[in-house]
Amino acid sequence: MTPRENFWRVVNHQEAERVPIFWGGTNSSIVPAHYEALCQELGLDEFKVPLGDFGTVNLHPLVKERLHSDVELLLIGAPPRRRLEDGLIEDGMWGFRMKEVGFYRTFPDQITPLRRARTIADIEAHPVWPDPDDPVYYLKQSERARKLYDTGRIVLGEASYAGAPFFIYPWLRGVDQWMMDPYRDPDFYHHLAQKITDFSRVILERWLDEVGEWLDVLCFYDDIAMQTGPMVSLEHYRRFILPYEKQLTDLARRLTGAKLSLHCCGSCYDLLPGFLEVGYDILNPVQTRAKNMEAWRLKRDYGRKLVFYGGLDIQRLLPFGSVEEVRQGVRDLIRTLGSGGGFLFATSHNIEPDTPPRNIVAAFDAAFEYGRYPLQAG
Amino acid sequence: MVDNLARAVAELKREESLAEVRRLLQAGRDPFDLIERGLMPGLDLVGERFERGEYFLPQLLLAGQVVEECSALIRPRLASDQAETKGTVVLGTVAGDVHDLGKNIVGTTLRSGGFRVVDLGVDVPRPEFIEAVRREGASLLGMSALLTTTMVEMAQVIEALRAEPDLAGVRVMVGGAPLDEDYAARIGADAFGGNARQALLRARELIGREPACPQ
Repeated sequence: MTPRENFWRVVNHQEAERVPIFWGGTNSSIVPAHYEALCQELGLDEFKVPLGDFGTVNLHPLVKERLHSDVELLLIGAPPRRRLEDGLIEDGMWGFRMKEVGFYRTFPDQITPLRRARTIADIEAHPVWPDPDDPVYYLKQSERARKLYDTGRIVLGEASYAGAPFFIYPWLRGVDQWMMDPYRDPDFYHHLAQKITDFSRVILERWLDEVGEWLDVLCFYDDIAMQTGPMVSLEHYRRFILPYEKQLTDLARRLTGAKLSLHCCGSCYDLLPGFLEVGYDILNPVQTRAKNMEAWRLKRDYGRKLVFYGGLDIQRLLPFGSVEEVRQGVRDLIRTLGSGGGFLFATSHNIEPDTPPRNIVAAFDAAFEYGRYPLQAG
Repeated sequence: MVDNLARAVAELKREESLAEVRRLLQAGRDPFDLIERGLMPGLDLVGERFERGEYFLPQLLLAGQVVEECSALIRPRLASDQAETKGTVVLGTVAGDVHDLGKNIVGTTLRSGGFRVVDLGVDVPRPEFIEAVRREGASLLGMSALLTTTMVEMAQVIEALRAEPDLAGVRVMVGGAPLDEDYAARIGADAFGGNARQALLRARELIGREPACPQ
């Protein structure tokens, strides 16, 4: 059974050969700052400089092979970024700004370009909007997608910042304003949200025309939850977020047979009914340490309706547990979420720099070992 | 009635809250009363609703704004002795971390609660915390971190603070997603502020006097 055949049975909630190992997406990888340490652990001396805003996106094939990964990442192209005089990095697609701090690239509210915007005219005056005619998004993507498909492995399509309207909104405006705009100035809010969605939709449509038929999973991303609960109510989600996300997923359904995945960190349990209304099939990264996000609860309440992609705790277990605790944690997770299919094993986000590389290897070895169907009881 | 002000704040009614403040000031009510018996109980209600899952981030932020706008009307009317704060809090997100949403909400809440808040922002180097605490005469240092890789920095700051004999009386409160009471205790913090309401309550316990109108 190829990894793809195995995957399609599992996402249709059947037990197949084994629990797929989903390591290598932008949010199920390792932060670039820690990639070298992992390569060293694996005895790999020659590797390229790691790329990625969050997780490493140019993982060496040997690293993926050693960690038993079943996926191939197809990432949409992106226009070049530029470094500003004050050291910030400006994104070439939307014009949001990033700051390099410690191990990370970050998006502080204070430097968002539309922070002081008051009117719709201020939004329109923002100098950088995506150009859907820029070939950079689509160049050689079809050829690459076909090649990845032919490997028999699972093709994970990521439309990056054309699939994340509510990453872009706060990066242009600040998280605090994003939270308050719908109440203080609904016209402003809807104008900006629709504008972001419109550009995303056009680019997504043209990209999916090229690659849609080769994708197994298409990932969207909108972080709207915290450790302790959702940032917004389900009602807020339905009124102010769902209508925009749905425009993108409806489009995607027409252009690809891929399963649709939503990345939403944190405690999003209370928003899951809304996610189902949008039409997502898969939830990532399943942050099992967050409130109400225990594996058993998710499986019990949503196990027939959603596929879980992620789940292995990177907040405590992976960085601070012993190898034995990590193996036990993986085993418990697989037994809980993997039963009856519907589980794609991955870490609950990108692996952080405080994680001992031996724990990483132990986790994936354990997933490979314990993930064989039928799952071992007891 | 100050109850109306508290209710308007709790219901996030900006115009109504501001109108109520103007009306009460015009009627000669003690401005200090408006803060202690109007804005603060209103904010407490908001915090309670947040903890019960009835309010979410937008409501916390909107309430903070309403209270700040109301306070701006009241402050110039306070007698000089009333304008005294409950103490100074130095706040910041530790080095290597720029997550500041939680810290900002805590800052707004503490400010509304009568504390003078000096917010150092994000990615704050260790010496800057120490210098600011000394310079501002702060009685409380509040630190925030969202990442497991940066929360360890808090322990380093606390160690550095404890090494300064002239700052021996300064208390420390920490908060952030990966933390809990245990971790806070382990690194020698005096309190864990799990959310904005808890942070205000802890700050009152640690350094502030009791509110005039306890809930």
